[in-house]
Amino acid sequence: MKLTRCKISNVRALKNIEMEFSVDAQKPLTVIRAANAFGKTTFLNALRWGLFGDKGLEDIAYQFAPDDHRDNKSKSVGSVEIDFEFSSGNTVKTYRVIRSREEKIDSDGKVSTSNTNVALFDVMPTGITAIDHAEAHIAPHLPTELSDVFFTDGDRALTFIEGEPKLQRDRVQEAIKSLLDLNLVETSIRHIDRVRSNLNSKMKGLGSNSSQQSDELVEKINEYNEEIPKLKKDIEQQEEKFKQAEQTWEQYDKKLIQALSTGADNRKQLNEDMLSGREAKQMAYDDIKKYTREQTELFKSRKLATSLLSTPFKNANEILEKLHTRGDIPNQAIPVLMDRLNQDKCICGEKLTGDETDVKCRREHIQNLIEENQSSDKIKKIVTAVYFETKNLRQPRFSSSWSDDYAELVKSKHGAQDKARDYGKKEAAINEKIKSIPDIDITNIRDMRQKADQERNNARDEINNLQLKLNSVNTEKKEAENKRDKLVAKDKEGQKFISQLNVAQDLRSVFLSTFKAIISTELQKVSSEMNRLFKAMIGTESSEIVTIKEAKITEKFEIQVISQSDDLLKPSIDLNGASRRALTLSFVLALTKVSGKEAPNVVDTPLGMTSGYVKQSILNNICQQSTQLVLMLTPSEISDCEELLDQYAGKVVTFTNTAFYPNIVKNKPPVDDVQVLTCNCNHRKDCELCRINEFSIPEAAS
Amino acid sequence: MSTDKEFVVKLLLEKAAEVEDRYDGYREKFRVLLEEVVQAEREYYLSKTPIIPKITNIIECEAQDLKSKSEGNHE
Repeated sequence: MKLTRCKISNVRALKNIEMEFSVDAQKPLTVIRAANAFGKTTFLNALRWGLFGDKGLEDIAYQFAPDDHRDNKSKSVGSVEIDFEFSSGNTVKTYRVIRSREEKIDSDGKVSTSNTNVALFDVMPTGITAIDHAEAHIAPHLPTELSDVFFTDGDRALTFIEGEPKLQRDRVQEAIKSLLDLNLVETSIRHIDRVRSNLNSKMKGLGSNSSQQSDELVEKINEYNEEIPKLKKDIEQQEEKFKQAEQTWEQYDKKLIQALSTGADNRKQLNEDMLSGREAKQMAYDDIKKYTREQTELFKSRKLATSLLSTPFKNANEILEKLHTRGDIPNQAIPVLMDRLNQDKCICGEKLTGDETDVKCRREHIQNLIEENQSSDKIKKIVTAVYFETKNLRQPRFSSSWSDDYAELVKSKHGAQDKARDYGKKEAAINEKIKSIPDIDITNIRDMRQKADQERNNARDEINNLQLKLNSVNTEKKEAENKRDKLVAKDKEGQKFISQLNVAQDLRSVFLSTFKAIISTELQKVSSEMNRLFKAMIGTESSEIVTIKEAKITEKFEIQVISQSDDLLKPSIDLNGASRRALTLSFVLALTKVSGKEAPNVVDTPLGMTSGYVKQSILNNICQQSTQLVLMLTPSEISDCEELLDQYAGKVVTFTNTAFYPNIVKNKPPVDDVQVLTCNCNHRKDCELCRINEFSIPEAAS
Repeated sequence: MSTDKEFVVKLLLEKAAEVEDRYDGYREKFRVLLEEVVQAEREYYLSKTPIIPKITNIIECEAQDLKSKSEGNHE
């Protein structure tokens, strides 16, 4: 979402302001230049109110009516009109929100709100179209909770790290929950649980005595569903450990081979023996694998089936052959009879057409024959299939028996196992000899290799254990599901609920794992990004960098700063003003980046209390990180940052408050009343309207 | 006012890959279901219209398909 234009009327001194915002991706910054009390905060409040309504105002009693309206008028209507655009793919849609508020002013000048209106329009090149239910359309994209993150001022942002610890945590938590949609995920889980609970109640209502048992099973299945992803994750971690240990082992093994091959002759011999023994052992293992595979195949082979079934089929064979010889199978009568009917010619050669009695009799007889055959046709089909399918079983044509093949394989496998064992022993003996070599390097390498081997074995064992556990949990889950299904599937209604519960369970597990992912992985991403930005902002030249090691967000939603000596720093006490500002802005930017929410960052006086490198660094970083940035800057904040503004500012608007003529504003304003006037002067130039007395503005670059 | 897929939807869709494919194409339909639930939650947030019947309805629609596919498999 990007702001494109705004028009503010009668909101305090902003009686008639209209301006555009920069939407240039290369120059995302819009600067509002204004001295203190020249209308910056009012502008921020007007924007917040325009987009978020009364909830966007920090003080609900915030009054709009300009001072002179209080003196002269019975009512004052303040309004804010904001154009903003949303892009989705290649499409950009522009909307206009217009919010107005009527305030009544009594004879004593007291103000009370009487009427607030909001309207939303679709802005198209052809014109504007009103959209019904404005708030319902605005709120999903601009939830009120985001107003504190995206529309803030330097001091307000500091409340993320200053003040009462619980309030700090609450504010950080609220911001994170809003931007990372934790609230939505949490409430969804609650709602899905209620749906599941309703479904379980309905199942109980089916009158089954087993409903309690069914509930217990459902609970068990839920537990399994939570346990399975955990186990899978553990397996992945162990596999990663195994891979690393394997790499380390290979690395030290290479080093050992190298160390041995460059040593004395006896070492070279040891090396050669070790390598050849290893190769032979590997071949033996390959053989074992091959024989095991063949053994498995043998158990699946037709030969085994033939061998096992040939005896029982001996008797069946005689019967089947008899049926075949007699012509009972296969059944060929129906097709022949059907063919006769179609050709209107009987088997005896007589015609089957006409109304004569004998023709009718012949047709009827053939029909009866077909029906009789049809009733026995199904059985004959099966018997025919059995006859042909079992032909091989009845007449085995194998050169060797299955048991002979099996015995031969077992013998070969045992031979390979013996070989592997022998080579293993030889390898152990070689290792012992290597162990006795009085060379500290070789000993170290060997120890490291052994350590990696141990780690590799541990990881392998752990993977096996976890895999066994996973298999067992999967089996238990299937069993529980089957039991539950049987309990409930006593009628169709039960089946319906099972399906609904399964879908509800899937929903719950996905929302739950998403919740966990947000709390762990995504929050960690925000924390890392905040740390990166914070360090980039405060830079290495800052005196504080000596003591700051990192900034992080804990799972309890605390923003913590850790010193190089691992002490926990209190930002409000241990950090200077510039670092505090950098920390809070880093948090806001990191949160925005990770959440992927595209919204303008509108910040009032972001560079207060900063100077020199840190000031420029903060400005540079927030410009780089924001898709759209609106900064309200005082002349002192702008000082030393002119080049960065040249680089990033697509629009600059200067506010001049006529109330400050002649003390600060140098020239007589073109209006008599108190209001903020705007001009397009930037940090490089001024004009008759905005020229001020107290400080000089650098002249325009040539 | 539409935007690209939201952060939470992206995450949910990622996590949907861990769901058992109860029948061929179930996971794909389940992904749509997830988006419908998020949409229903958004509407609930705005208008506080009853959410439980909505989610129940979304689940029931998918469960019908699941039931018929399961029956098909048993046959």
